[in-house]
Formats: sequence, structure tokens, C-alpha cells
Amino acid sequence: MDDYADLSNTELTALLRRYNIPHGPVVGSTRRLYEQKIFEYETQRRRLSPPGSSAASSYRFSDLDSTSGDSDMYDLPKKEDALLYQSKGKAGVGSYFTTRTYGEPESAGPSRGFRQSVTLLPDADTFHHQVRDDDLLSSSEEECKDRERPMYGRDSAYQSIAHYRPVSASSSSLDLSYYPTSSSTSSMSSSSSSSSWLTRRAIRPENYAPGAGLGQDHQVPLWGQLLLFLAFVIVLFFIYYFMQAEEVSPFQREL
Amino acid sequence: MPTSRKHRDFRAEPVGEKPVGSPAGMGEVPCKELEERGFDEACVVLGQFLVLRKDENLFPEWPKDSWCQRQAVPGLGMPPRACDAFL
Repeated sequence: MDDYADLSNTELTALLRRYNIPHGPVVGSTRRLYEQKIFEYETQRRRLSPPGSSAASSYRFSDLDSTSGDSDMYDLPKKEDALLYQSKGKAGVGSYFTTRTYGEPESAGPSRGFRQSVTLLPDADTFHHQVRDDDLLSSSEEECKDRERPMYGRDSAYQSIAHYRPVSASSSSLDLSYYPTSSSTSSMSSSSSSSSWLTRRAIRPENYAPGAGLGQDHQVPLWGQLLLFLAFVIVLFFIYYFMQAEEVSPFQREL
Repeated sequence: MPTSRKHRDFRAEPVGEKPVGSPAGMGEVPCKELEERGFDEACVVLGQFLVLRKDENLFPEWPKDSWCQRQAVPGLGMPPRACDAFL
């Protein structure tokens, strides 16, 4: 947040306008408030989706003292970076373990968007991935600590499917970036979580296909609908016809 | 918040030049700190509220940021309501 002190009032106003934050004039008494607002907005934005621009700002934040305790989280990924590069390599997809091997929280449970954005980038940019992932890892660590444990069960369920999925080299090295240790279990669990991520992606097209098929089966074709309608009309007609009382004069019975 | 007499008195007339302690919920300590910073009349505090574009969520945080590290001053809910009546 100290970075905002360098910006002039007009620059702050421009930022507020860019983020669509409703604001008033940035004057001496209001400046601090709006700096705080921008800071909160950027923190939130970083947590939800990792755009490229936030990578730089997130590094800035990691250097600042923040009262929320995020600074501890941000320091951790930096140490991880050094280890990550040592352990960087290409892991096979052959082995699958549950991801409980770590005491450290793993980003098994972050949002889908997070994973997607990570995998789209080529191998050459893994450094940038790690930058972004680490920030998200740290931020998601905060948020997902409770969610990650139940996610592990799901991951193990998906792992059997993932056996047969080819894993690109880039994604495997990417996944190594998630986990700090350089032991073989790291690559395996990372590949397992990568495979869980992969299976998640793979399953989506499968979901669409059966959904589409079911949709077709439930729809009755137009001619069928017309036939049904005619049958209904005929049934109603017969009921009405046979329900009619005979027009017999009550006086004409047996004389 | 239940309408106390002080609350009703404050709302009954235009803010005018009432002292900053006149809205209900303005304790002594925040009053003093406000006066030290030049907010000696309630209308000046109201002015700060207006500068913040009448943002009711942001306005109570304004003292929190600078000098009052404790909870927001409850009396700072008054200017929004004063605005409703007279603006």
C-alpha cells in the first residue's frame, strides 16, 4: 500500500476510475481511504483471477508489511522458488498417490480458472507461472485450507481415470512448481494433482456429450406431439359422447 | 438505532453550526480528536461525508484510517441521515 503514496491525486483518481470504484474527490482527507480501497480491490482481484498485470503488483505486495498477515504467506513462495528450480524436471504420469503426503497445504482446491490459466502457458514461461501460481498459492492457502482436505478424496477418485491421459511436459513441470519439496513424492503428488486437474478438464467435454444426448431423448418430436394431441381429443370426444344421457322423455316410459 | 432525544433534536433542524458532539453517538474522545483536526462543527463532518460522495459504507471508516484505530464512531452514522432530511 505504500506504493500508492507515490501516485499523485490525479493518478489515484485515474486508478479508481479504471477499477470502477465509486469515489469522490481525492483530497488530503480522503486520500488514505481511497488508497485503502484500491489496495483491497487489487488484493481481491489477485485472489480471484491472475491477470498478467497483477503479477507485478503482487510481488510488490509481498514486500510490504500488511496487517492481515499475508506477508507471511507471500514470503513462503519466494523460498519455494529456489527449491522449485532445483527440482524442475519432467515427471512421468505413471504413479498416483493421494495428495496427503504433504503437511503443507497444496493448491488442490483452488478455482478452476486458476488451473486453466496455468496450463495454457507454454513451458518456456514456467517462471511466470510460478510467479503467479505462488501468489495464488499463498492466497489460496489462506482461503482453501479447509477446502483442500475434502478435495483430496475427490482427487484420488479421479486419479484412476488419469492413468491413461498423456501429460505434456509443460504441465508436469508446471505442477512441480506448486510444491516446494524436491522429493520424488512431490512430482508424483504434483502429477496426481495435475492429473486430477487434467481429469477435471477432460471430464467436462464428456459431461457435455451425455447432456446433449439426454436432451434429445426427452424432447418429443413435433409429429409425435400432434399425434398425442389427436389421441387426447378423440378420447375426450368419446367420453363426452357416451356420457350423454339419452333423450328420453321421462313420461314415455312404460305406459 | 432507537431514536433518542438527542437524535431527534439533531434531525429536527438544519445542521447549521451545531457542535460536533451534538449527534447521538458521538463520544467525548472522538469529538476531541475531530476538533483537533479542525472538524469543530457538525456541518464540517457532514462536509467530509459529502466529499466522500455520501458513501455510507466508506464514511465510518474515515476516522478509523487516520487517528481512531478502534471501532468506527457510531455517531458518524448521523450525517447520512441528516442528508436524507435536508439535502
